[in-house]
Amino acid sequence: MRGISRALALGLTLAFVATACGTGGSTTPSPTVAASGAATKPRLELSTYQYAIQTKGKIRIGTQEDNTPFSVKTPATGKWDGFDVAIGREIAKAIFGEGEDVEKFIEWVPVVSATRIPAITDNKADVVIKTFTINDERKAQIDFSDVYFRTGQRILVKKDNTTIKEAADMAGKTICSQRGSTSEKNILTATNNAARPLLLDSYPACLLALQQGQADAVSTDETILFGLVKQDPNTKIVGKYFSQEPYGIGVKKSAGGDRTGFVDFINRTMITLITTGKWATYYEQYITPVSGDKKRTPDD
Amino acid sequence: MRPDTWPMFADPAIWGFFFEGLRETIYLAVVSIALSFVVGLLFALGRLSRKRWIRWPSIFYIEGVRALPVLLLIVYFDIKGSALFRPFFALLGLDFDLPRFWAGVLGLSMYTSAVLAEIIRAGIVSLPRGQSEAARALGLSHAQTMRSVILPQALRLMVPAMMGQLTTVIKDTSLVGTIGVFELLKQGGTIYKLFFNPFEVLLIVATIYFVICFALSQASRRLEVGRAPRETRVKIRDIELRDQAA
Amino acid sequence: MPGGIIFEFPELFLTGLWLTIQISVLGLIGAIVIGTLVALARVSPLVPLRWIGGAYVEFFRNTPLIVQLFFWFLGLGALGFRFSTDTFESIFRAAATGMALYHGAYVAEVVRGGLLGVDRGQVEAARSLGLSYLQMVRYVQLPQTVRSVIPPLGNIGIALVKNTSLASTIGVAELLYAAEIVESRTFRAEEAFIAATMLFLLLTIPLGIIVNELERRLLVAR
Repeated sequence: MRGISRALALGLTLAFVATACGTGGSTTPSPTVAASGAATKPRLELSTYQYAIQTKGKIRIGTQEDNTPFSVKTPATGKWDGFDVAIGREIAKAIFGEGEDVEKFIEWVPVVSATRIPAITDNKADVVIKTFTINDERKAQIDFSDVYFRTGQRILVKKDNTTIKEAADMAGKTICSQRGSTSEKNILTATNNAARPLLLDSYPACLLALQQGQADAVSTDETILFGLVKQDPNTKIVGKYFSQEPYGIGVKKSAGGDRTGFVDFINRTMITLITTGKWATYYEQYITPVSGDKKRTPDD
Repeated sequence: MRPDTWPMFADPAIWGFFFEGLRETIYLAVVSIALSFVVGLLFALGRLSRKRWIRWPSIFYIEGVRALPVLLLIVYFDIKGSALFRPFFALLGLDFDLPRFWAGVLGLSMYTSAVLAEIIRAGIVSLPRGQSEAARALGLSHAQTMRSVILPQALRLMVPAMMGQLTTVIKDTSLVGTIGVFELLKQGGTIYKLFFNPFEVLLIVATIYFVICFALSQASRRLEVGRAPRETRVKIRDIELRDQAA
Repeated sequence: MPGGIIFEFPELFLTGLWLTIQISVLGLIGAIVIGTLVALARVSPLVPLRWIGGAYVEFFRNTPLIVQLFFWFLGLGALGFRFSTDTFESIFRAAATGMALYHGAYVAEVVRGGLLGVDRGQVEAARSLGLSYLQMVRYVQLPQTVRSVIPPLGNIGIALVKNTSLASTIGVAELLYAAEIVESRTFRAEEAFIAATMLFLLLTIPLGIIVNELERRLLVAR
């Protein structure tokens, strides 16, 4: 951190987002094959929820404000960016059309791990796209789209750490994670309750604890760890995936038909994104800078 | 310590960032104290009511809420607030989700209303009996007595205590950051998680709070209007000690 | 059954309750010790001591407790200082220290009021009988102060118990933390929070009754 100029002072977040997305503002990738083609709104079936959203003129997308590289809200400009954010915009485009600035049809609803399910069940958001791992417990509460991203849980340690190399090495150590996430539970499962979880409010706070030596490691989905490594290059990610984290988009369960056809619609939109290569483009734009690899589909 | 980050504090943009948080803090505090006052006044009167069916629920609310941590109330309203109010809005055919700002306000107000209820009640009770007796003898109804004779005097006596509560509420807004509202402390948190300088930032944030709260407490000292009897002042002090949250 | 969820997660809730009690007790003892010392400083004839005592009280009362807790945990951590090499012990001690220092400021004001409330005549008589300042404090002022100071200290204690919930923000696994974890695992928010509420009330209501009684009995006529 050096050379603070007016633009850069707060905009270290901008620099952050800039390295993740390359431009530093909202991004609209050039349309290759638009799903609907015309500049008018897509025709949707009358009885479906997506039609209701189209009529309402607004889709409420729930995501997290500080979840690099998936969703980041720049404090200075109030703009949202990231992989999840881009997917959200694509869904909005599938409802409201490619032609105009889709941003004016979107209401971004900030959520965190603890509130992402209530946000859906309490109808605060139409969809939640927030590194949301699909599991049975959650499926009892909400519906998920098909998998749009795959990752796993790994461990972040300081670069000079040699004692923690695999999940089992976490036993007896202080492992930091976010309160209310599946990550903290996975840590206990993987070490048979022998790890000592330090639960703070967010992963950046965990990174601080790691730096200060108050935590031996930070553990959560690899993609979030990528963002942390970017923030502090004096760390490294170790261990194989010790959990499978398939991400899905969260949607309210249809009660009395109020979400008819919505999950299918989202799934079809995702398939289109994958087959037209947009998914791969976004991966390269947001994930590749931190992970170093390229994927063309979620199942690569 | 991160001296390499110190130049950042010469940049007005950083102070602008703090200031936005401060604005949110003040907004939270003012709305909460206003709501707390109204609700607190109602429960104070309720507790003084002769009708048992009003008095007992009032006591239950006041003593129950006072016995709980304010942070618990704030977190609870964040998780469950929307679900609580949804049925009412559904009747109007409207959708409802509770913004986090209002979840914070609800938590703060609920707690502070119980405290203010006790403070106001102590003020009312401290007035000489002769006041209400004379009013009633002159033919004023209970409500008129309250409105025109008792409450004005009681509330004037309670001004310093209520300003004390405003100071407490301003400090408590720092708790609302834990549910994601971007008040002063959370703004500071955003900065130190980005630049890794919590020592410096927390000192700055603490100083900002200090300046505001200290100024308020000095002002309230000057605003003492009339002097409540010693017993009442002791009672108020005990209420404040028991219920001052962080 | 309300609170039944406690039996589904006994360790979380019981650890929470136990940590709450521990921090409360340690915090209160610390607050009383610190507060008494500061109060003595504030009434001492030495001006620098009075000033330091006054500054302490004003600073710790006009700053939010949560800011202080983050400071002892992350702020000092940035300087390399920790309360213990074991992180969980460290955050526990940070919480207890934060509680003691914060509430100590309130104790200081209460004790100072009590000290000043001792009849001047007694103070003067003691000094004229040849007692040194310290002897006068120890044998005349303090014993009488203790009586008038107990109910307000009890009230501070109740506030302390409630404020331990803030320790959850620095990772201490007390009651509010337990409720949040249980809610995130089961999504049964009402049950989890009612359980935590019940456990808090278990502590604060009896304390409240005791203090009310003490207030009634020890109403000191001055």
